[in-house]
Amino acid sequence: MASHRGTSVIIVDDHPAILAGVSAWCAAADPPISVLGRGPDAGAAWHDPGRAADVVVLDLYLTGPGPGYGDLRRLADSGRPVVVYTMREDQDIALTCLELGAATYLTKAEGEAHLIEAIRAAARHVPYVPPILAGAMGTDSRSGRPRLTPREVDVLLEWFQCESKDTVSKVLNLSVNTINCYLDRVRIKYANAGRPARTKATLVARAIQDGLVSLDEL
Amino acid sequence: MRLATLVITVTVLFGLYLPMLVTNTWMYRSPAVEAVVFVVLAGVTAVIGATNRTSRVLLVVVFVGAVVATAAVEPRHLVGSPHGADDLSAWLGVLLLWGRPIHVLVGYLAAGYAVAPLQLWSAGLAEPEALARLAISNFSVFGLPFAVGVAVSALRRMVVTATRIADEQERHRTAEVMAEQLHADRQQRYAGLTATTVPLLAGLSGGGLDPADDGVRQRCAAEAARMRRLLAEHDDTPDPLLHELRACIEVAERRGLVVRFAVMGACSVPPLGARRALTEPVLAVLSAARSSARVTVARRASTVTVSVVADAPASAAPNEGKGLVSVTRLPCADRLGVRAIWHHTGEPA
Repeated sequence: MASHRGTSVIIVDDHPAILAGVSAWCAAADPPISVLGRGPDAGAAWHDPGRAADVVVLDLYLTGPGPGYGDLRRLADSGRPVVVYTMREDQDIALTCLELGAATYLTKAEGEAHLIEAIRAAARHVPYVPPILAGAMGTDSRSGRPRLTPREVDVLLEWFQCESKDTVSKVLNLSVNTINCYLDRVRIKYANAGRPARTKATLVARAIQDGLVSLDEL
Repeated sequence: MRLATLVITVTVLFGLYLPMLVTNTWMYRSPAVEAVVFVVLAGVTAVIGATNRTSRVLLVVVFVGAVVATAAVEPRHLVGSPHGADDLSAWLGVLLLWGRPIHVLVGYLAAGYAVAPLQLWSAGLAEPEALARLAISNFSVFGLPFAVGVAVSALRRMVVTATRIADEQERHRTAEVMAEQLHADRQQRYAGLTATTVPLLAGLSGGGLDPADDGVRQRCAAEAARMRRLLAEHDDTPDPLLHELRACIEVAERRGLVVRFAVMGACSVPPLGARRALTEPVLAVLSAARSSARVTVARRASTVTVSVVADAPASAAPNEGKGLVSVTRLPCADRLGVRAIWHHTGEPA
């Protein structure tokens, strides 16, 4: 549906400046991303006009006491791609969001460079790995983590530290395409691990269709 | 000392009490009672010898035994040496009141001392001469245990004092060692600063260095961060590397630099030398950065990596090397990037 009428988004954030800023970035994108609605809580994503949006941009810390994992889980389980967009650069929170089925985890410090691309990727159900998320996956020491190859870890950590794929490409002597391929494959490994969620299944299915990973590798 | 007292008690029991009991039977109103008291007191002695304990119940048993034994003697034979129960009860008292304040023992011995005269008096035989003779003979019975009790008490006081003095001396010695250690630490820190800070300060005060010069200001910023890091190194914190990095970043932020700081991976604590080597490139690059920088820490099971990317001139790059920590330049296009890696095993990177 995204291909017919362009990508649409609903923005959930309790800070008016963020709502205005993200709306402005979406309007300035080429082609533009249409903002179907914006609101201070996840209800905006469930009711018209936000219900029809391709992607939900969700601030994880709304008015409640802790992170809004419940909102994220409900959206992911119903198949809505969610770009978590937060102030927090926290490994546990990032990995928990992936586990619950977020499309990607983006910090506000990274926003300008990555948010539009992350929204487009989420709408197409393809992986998008910003640097902080790469760092969180590359240093993951939890017991249930997916098995990564040393090369995959290298790519994740270089991307986390350099924030520039050109630099990573020079350091590791790999093409930018290969680097993207490594990042996407790691993201699919994470989507294939832990609790099931509709968004995770869609991400894995799409990766298999695109030939990014084969069934045997999973 | 307690063992010696026990030996005396056993000697009194068998060398004095038992022969008296056997030879003085004709002095007793009831030899059977005397024999029972002997057996009971011998039993108490055995219990003390076997368990090495002090007990109020046993003390009461001993005292009652002595009273009963004295009561079983014909009152007219009380003056003289009719039985050894008095002697034994006095020595057992010393053993059973071991470690108690001396006045308790004095009270017990005084009560024992009074038993025979009271019984003499109750039998209507309390003539001054008889009482005086009894007092003198009993004095030898109770005097020796009393002397031993006093000696024990004095010795105990001396031991307590000696222990306290030894503890105090130990505390003084510890404090001295700590002070020496602190002094050595400070000297070592000062030595670290002499190489870089002192020449800078000397240059500034002597007019050889111009504070308006960018290079000089950059050196000042780096030295300020080094001193701040030095202070941070002595804070008690669960994650010293992050604490020291934040100290360096704080100094840079005070100059108006915007620093993004991201940390991933579980806490690990490299030794001080490695932490300094890891923070040094950050400190150098941040001191030269113009407006913004990003510092990252990635910690895995085998390595700790600290990277910095900033809009700093290439001249600010620290020397690359492979010492305790390997330092490399990152091939960033328009910014200065430097990375430091420390391996847990100490193997070269």
